[in-house]
Amino acid sequence: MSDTDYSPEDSDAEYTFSDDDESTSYADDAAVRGKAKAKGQITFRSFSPDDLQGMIDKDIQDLAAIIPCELPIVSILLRHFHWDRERLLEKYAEDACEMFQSASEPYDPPASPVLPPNKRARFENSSPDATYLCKICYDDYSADETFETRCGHRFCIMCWQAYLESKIKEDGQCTIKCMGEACRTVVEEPAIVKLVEKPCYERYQKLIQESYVAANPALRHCPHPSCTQTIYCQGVSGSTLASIVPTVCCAEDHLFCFGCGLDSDHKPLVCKLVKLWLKNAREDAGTASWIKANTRTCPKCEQSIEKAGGCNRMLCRHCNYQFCWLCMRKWEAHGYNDSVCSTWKEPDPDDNATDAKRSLEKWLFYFDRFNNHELSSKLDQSLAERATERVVEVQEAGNMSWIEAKFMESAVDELTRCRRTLKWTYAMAHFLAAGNKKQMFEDLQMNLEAAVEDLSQLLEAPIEADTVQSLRHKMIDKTAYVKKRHELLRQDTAARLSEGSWEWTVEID
Amino acid sequence: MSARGSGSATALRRLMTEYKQLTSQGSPDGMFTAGPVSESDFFTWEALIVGPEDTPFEGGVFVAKLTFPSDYPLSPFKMKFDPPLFHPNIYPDGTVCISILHTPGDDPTQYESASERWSPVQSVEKVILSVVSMLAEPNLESGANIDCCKLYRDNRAEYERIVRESIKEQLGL
Repeated sequence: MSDTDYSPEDSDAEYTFSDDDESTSYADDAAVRGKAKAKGQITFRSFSPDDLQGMIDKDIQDLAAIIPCELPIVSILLRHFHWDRERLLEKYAEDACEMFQSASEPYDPPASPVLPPNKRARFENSSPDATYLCKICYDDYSADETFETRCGHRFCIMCWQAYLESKIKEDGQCTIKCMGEACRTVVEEPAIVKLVEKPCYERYQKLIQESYVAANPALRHCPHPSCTQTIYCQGVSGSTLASIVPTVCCAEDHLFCFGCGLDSDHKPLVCKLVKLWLKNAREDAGTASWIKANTRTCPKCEQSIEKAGGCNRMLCRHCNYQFCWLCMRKWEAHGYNDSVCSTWKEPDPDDNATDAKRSLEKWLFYFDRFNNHELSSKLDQSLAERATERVVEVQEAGNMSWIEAKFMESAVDELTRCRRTLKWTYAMAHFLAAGNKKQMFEDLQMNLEAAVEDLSQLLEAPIEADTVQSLRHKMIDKTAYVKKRHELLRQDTAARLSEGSWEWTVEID
Repeated sequence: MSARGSGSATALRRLMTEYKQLTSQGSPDGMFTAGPVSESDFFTWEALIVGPEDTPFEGGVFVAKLTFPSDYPLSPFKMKFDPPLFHPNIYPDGTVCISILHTPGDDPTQYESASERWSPVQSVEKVILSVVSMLAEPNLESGANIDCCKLYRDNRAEYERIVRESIKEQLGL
C-alpha cells in the first residue's frame, strides 16, 4: 500500500508519528494541530537487524571497558543478567568473584585477563600426532579434529557441531553449556563461529538479538511475518497505555501497536480494551453470529445473499428489494445518511429482558459491525482491483493521463484506513458508558461511516470513457472529505484519551 | 569427515562401544546388566537391575526397557520398567522420571537445575547407577506417582510392605 502518511523517509532518522502528520493538507488547522502535538504523541525509530546488532555490540563494548575481560565473556555475563547492566555492575561491585560464579564463569582476577596459563601450556605441549578418544562417539581423532573449550573439555569437532546445532536450531538456545559432564561453562561466541555452519551461526545471532529485545522494554520486533525490523520507542509503559495508542510503523511500512504488539493500527481504542475485545471475539468466533456476519437472507424473499462489495446498500437479485446490510431494513428508511443503524439503542429500563440477554445483544450488535468493516475492507480491495483494471483500459484508450488515473488507488487507501479505524470505533463504542460523550463520539463515527459508504458506493460505479472524468472528480472530492472526517475523529478521540475524560463500562487502569 | 556424520551412524557406533564396555568391564558390584534385545536392533535395550541392599527392593530383579533416539547421545534415551515398579519417581506405566534423563529444555516438574540434566557425556551406565540410587532414595520433590509419594511420606511401613509384596509376586513366591 502506498501509505505515504506513515512511511519514514529514512530508517535512521528519528521521526514522530501522530494523527496530525505534516503531510496532511489542512495546514490552516494549526490550532488543532498544536494541541494534538502536545498530547498523545510518541517518538520512535526503526532498526534494521544490523542496527540492532550494533546496539548490542556497543553495550558489550561499554561494559568491557569497566569489567576487564574479553568481549565474548562480557556477552555471556550480560545474557546471564538478562542484559541488565546496572544489576550486573552492582553484583560486580559487591563481590566480583561471586558474580562470575553465578554465571558459571571462571573468575580471572584483573591482573591476568587472558587464558589461564596452565591450559595454554597444555595445549601447546600436546604432540601433533597424539590421538584423542572422543568420549561421545568413541572414535579416535587427531588433535586438529578435536576442539577443547576454555574449561578444558575436549571432544571431536563433529560431535561439537551436532550438539551445538541441535541446541541452536531445535531448542532455540543462545546460552549453551559445555558438553562436559556437570560442566556449566557457557560456550563462547568465537567457539560457536568455529564449530557450526554459517546459517546456524546466523540463527545463533538472531537468538541473541531476540533475548536482547525481550529484555529491553523499549524494543519490540515488528510482528509482521518475515519482517526483520525492530522498533525502539521509549516511554510506553503500562500506565501510559491508558492514555495513548502507540501505533508505530517500521521501515518496511508495517503498522503495528507498540503497546500490545497487535499487527495493525487499532486507534482509537486503547490496548487493554483491544485485548478484551479480541478475547471476546475469539470466544464468540465459533458461534452462529459469526457465520451470520458473512451471509444473510433477503428480508423479503429469503434468498441467501453474499456481500460482494464494501457498500452496505444491498440489492436482491431475485426480488429487486433494496435493503441495508447492517439493520436489514428497507434501504429508503435511512439511505446513506443513516442515523438508524450505527447507533446502539440503550433498551428502555422497563424492558423485561435479562441483563445477560441484553449484554449479549449489545455485544452482537457491535461485533457484527466490527466484522462488517473488516469484511467490507477486503471486498473494497477486490472491487477496486477490478475497477483499477477498467480505469487502466480507459486510460490506455487515451482519455486520461497516468497520474490522473491514480485516483482509484488513493480512494481505496483512504477507505482501508478509515474502515480500520471504524472497525475499532465499534469495539470502542461497546466499552463506552452511555452519555453525552458517547453520543458525540457516535456522531463522529456516524459522519465518517456515511462518508465512507458513499465513497465505497462510488467504487461500484460503471467506468466508461465519457463519464470517467466526472467520476474522477467525484471520487477525489469524496476522498478528501472522508480523509478530513477521519482526521477529526482520530484527533478528537486521541485528545480525550490523553485527558482521560472517556467513561468506560469496564475498568482500564 | 562428513562421511561419519549422520546422526544414527554416530548413535550406532556409540551404542556398540557402550555395550562393549559394559560387557567387558561389567557393572560395579554386579548391580545390573544391559544390552540390546537383539543383534538386529541396537536402539532397543533391556536392562536387568538388582534391587539395592537395605532397601525394600532388596532381593528383586527388575526388567527395564531402554529406547534410544536416532540422535543419541545428543538426546537422552527413555527408560521404562516392565512390569512397572511402585516407586515415587516411576510413572504408573513404568516410565522412569529422573533428571539425568531430561534435556535442559524440557522439565516436566519445573524444578531441576540444568547441571543435573542429560548431556552427551552421560551414558547408560551412569544413568542406571543413578536409577539404582533413586530406588534407594526417592525424590519426593518431583514425584511421578503421586499416590506413591503420599504413601511414602505418610506411611513408610505400608509403602515398604507393598513394595516387598510386589517383589514376592514377581518372583512367584
